[in-house]
Amino acid sequence: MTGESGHPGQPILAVRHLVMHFPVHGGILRRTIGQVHAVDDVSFEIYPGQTLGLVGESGCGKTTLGRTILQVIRPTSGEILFDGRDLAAVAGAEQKAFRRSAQMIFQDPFSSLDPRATVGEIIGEGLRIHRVGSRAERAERVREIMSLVGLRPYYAQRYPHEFSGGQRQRIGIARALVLHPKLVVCDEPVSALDVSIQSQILNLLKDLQRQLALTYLFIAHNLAVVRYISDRVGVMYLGKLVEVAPTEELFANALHPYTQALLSAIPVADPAQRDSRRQIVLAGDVPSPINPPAGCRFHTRCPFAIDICRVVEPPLKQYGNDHVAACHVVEAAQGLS
Amino acid sequence: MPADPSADGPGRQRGRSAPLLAVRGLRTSFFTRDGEVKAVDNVDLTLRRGQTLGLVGESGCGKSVTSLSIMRLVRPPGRIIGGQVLFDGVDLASVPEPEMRKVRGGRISMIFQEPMTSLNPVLTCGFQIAEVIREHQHLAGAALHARVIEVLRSVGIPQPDRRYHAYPHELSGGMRQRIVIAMAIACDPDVLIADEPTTALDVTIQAQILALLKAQRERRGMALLLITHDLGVIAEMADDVAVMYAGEIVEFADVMTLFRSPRHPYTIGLLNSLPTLTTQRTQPLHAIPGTVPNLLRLPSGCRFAPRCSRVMAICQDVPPVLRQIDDGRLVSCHLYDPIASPVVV
Repeated sequence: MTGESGHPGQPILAVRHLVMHFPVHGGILRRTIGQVHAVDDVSFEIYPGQTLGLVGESGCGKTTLGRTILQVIRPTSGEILFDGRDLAAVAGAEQKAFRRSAQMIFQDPFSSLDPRATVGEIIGEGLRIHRVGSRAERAERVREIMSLVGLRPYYAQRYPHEFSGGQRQRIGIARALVLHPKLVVCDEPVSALDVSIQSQILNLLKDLQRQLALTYLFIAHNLAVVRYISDRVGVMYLGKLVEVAPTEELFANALHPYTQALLSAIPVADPAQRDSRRQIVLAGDVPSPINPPAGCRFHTRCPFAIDICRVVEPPLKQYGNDHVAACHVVEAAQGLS
Repeated sequence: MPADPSADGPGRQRGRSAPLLAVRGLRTSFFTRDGEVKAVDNVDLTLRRGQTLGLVGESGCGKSVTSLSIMRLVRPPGRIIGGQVLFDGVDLASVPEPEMRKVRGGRISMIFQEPMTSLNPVLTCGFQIAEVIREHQHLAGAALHARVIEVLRSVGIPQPDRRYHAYPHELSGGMRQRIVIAMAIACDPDVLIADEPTTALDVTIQAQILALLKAQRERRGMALLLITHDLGVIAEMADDVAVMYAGEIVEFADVMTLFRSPRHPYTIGLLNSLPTLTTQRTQPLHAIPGTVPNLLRLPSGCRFAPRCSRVMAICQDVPPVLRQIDDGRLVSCHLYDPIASPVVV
């Protein structure tokens, strides 16, 4: 589907036609009365040492996608290939090995840390669960990872409430990295932080990626942040991946009308541009994922929708090198390349 | 719905209208078991008709307490301990509570961040808007109902007759924020205070709400006090900007001047640490080291000194004061103080 040219080797993660539906129960018998189409037929790859940014508005399924990849929830259908192995088929020791090599960093540094555990216990928990080394070796590893993320090792005896938001996010990062993972799913890791702290954490994530050869799936709604950290960016709308492209390409040459609207809706921190900038203000709200619109899911808000958009769901098509988009209007305009 | 180009018309011209609301030397503290937290310390602000004043700062800098103080909504252990809020020749900081109730929601109203928590979940949207109008105007029955419908329509609620009977949970976040805005403007306020009005919303919905606030400001000639941590929103909306840090205003300028040539090292750091759509991706982002000081144990000199890249000896001991410098802006920093620093840039 995606052009393999220009990428270093095999993808570390390949997602194929992934579907995640959640049943909706209702009535006195709590019967299933519908499905939340959280993730619908999503396919993409991530290459080793790279960052794929995933953007979209709340409810578009980006967090569900991250959780499904980490096997926190079982997908309804589709394949997730990690290092070429289908995760649905792995079990036992192999599954445990996967859980070590794929970790997650969460959004909220306040609710994602156990308030009654010390920082050392929180960071070292994964080592204990996976029975890595002796007690002394584990303590040494915790100290090592703490200094790597910029925490003083003697903080290991303290509790999360003693730390600021930025420091807590460093604790969350240390916890994710303590088991030497290959893939880290970062779910909105900086959106709860103040601007001056956000840049500290973004710099840290970039440094760690270089030092430890990490691969990131970076989920966020802030496009400027995603642009800064990602090699490639995918845009989601209502459970669908509507466009994927290398970062520079996406920001210079967005094809999908939703991507264009999203880019133009970001307030630009330059007052000189506010009158000259062409802004696409989308009407209406995101429809419910329980009954997503037929055809293209974006057609209800799309300023360019044509008849076919209301009926036929557009597939992802290739436009130029490694740039895919799912839109009938783009397809009609560009001809098929 | 394309952005209305006229929404940004004459009100933005740089002519200075007379001050509508002036905050002078406002000080609000919280008296906790651990000591006095000086959340707002000697803050001055001026709001003018038809203009937007942006108040920007990070969490805990006192921007929300400033707005709550103006509305006299600070709860114990917090208390306004000094200063004035001059509105129409009256000091709101000292009028009796019944007087304040007439102003609140009438001539000065406020929009809060989280639209779900500022609406009552068991009352219909229409009822809640009607309640505000009844409090301030002599309207009842069909006239009141018609007025509510009119307000709903003016904030872009589709099918206002149906939405009148909707409960907040039946609406999306963007629609709820429109209802909150409808409540706030129902009595044609002179001053609208919006505290992080779009922080809980997605970017495409944020764009809708900002366009709505601009249009309402233009149409009604309100003064808008826009409180946010988002410098992008400030750049899009504000005429003047006040930057707050640890309870104090550290820089005040018109929006062009502030973004083009920030002077306070905190403002400079804040603008530089923001990734934008043109940031070099290969360069590390600028970061302000350290964290915001604990308001219980403030540094004795400049409150930003421990994180400042250009700190001088005097900054450790003497707090700088907000003063006007050559280009008319206000800045509170010893770097621009001709006596304190012989090495002015």
